[in-house]
Amino acid sequence: MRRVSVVSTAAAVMALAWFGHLQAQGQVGQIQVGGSPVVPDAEVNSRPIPRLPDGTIDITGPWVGGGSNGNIERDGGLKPGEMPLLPWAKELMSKRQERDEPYTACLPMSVPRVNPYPWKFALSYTSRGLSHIYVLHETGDAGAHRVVYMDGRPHPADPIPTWWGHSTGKFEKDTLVIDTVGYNDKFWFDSRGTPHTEQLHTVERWTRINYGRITNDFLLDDPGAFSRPVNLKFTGRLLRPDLKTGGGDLMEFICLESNEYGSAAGFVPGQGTNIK
Amino acid sequence: MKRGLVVLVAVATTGLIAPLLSESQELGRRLGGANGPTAAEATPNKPAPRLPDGKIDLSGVWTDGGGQSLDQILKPAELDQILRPETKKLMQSRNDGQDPYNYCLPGGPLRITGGFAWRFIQHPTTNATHIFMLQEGNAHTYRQIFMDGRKHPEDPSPTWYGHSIGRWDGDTLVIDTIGLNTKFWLDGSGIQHTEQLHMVERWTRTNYTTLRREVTFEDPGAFTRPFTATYTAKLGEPGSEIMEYICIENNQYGLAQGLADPSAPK
Repeated sequence: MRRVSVVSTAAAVMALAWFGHLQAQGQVGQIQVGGSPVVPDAEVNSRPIPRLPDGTIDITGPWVGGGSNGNIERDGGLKPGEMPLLPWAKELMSKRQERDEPYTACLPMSVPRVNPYPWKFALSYTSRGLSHIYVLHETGDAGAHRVVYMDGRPHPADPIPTWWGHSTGKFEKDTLVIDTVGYNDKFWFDSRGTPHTEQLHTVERWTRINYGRITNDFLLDDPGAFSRPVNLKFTGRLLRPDLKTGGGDLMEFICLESNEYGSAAGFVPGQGTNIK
Repeated sequence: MKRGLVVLVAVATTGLIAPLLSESQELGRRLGGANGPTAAEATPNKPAPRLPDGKIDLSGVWTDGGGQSLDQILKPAELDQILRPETKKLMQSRNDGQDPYNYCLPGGPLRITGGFAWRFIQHPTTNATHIFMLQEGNAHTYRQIFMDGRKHPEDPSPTWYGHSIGRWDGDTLVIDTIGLNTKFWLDGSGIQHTEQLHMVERWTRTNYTTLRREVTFEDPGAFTRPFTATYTAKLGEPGSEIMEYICIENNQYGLAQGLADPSAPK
């Protein structure tokens, strides 16, 4: 079987995001990359908001964006300097370098980070109803999935800190509300290195506002690193279902294979994650 | 047995923490090896549950069902006859240290069920368009099975998990896979398939706690003829969950020892 060179959806989206980033810095003019893989602004209302057979709003996606990436402050709608970081956190952040970010070594990017690759909500239905919602990323999560428990269980009293934390969720009308504690402190909120502690508590309110867009009203509450809770807002854009490459589905991406940025460059996983 | 937090150390990596053990649980009842969930109470007469649309409910935390090597499933004489000479020679020359699986690279669609908990996700509830398989261990990643009737692409770009299409044949889920790359070992013994590999799996939930998986392998590049191997997955007790497991974090076996990426061309 001959190998086919695949121009992945991911690469196109990443190129767009990167050029957008450069454009924002005034370094590059308009770049034509052959069309966007997301539903354009003009078409966000071209179809009604879909619902699943049981009436639940369909938040599946796949989506691109909906969280932080290069700069959580800017990505989340705040002005520069508006994030109320405590002094120690500001200092740590100033010392961090993009190349040391755990994400570049294929470690999980966690919440609310979304790199410019598609992701989707996968609702796991059982004979007893909706039990879990999984967030599947094409990449950026060390391979796989974030789990949101939808069965009404509470958080454990003393959760073991993990990259993705312990998430419980419920639908409030058409909004999916996800409450998460139990994060470890090893991931960065953005490639600038905005830090947090194990005290982090997040609340996400996901609302599909129309066919092509989903908003994430995000509450960041971490008294260990921030002087007060912070409200951020992100918007995810729907991947076009008619894409030739990938067909509007998630594609395979194995970060650890040929990771030129990370392990191939001699990066030792675990370095740069130490908050001290 | 003392109550307490037990840290189970996997062969390849650390990072998996066991839940609190109660007096009634014993390590010997764990499924899939030391890292698996406790087995659900055997209930041979309890049937498989169904979703509202009548399809079999595949949910639950399962273990095994594809992790064993083919030499443990097939009789020696049969396997010997199935392997082409060069396939057999390569298999015999390999050792664990060369297995990409141990370097946190994906184990492929057969081994996604090995040694640790795994799950099916049927999405959405009625006439699911996608079924995903999630694994706790190894690459902690997902396998995507398209259930919407689409065909395989004419010339798929080879990937670690391939292109999988599925359909229901009565109460049996049939998954057809092509487009697999050759960067992973088909099984733990080092049997190497080629890009011609075509796998057909038939999954049947024979009762509440048991999943039978019949896999037919066809690969004229590696095998003298198609053959079928049958595996069994068992259900974890209610309340079992897939736990977080980040293979490359603190991978003592592989990266931490400075071992190179085994998938790199030699």
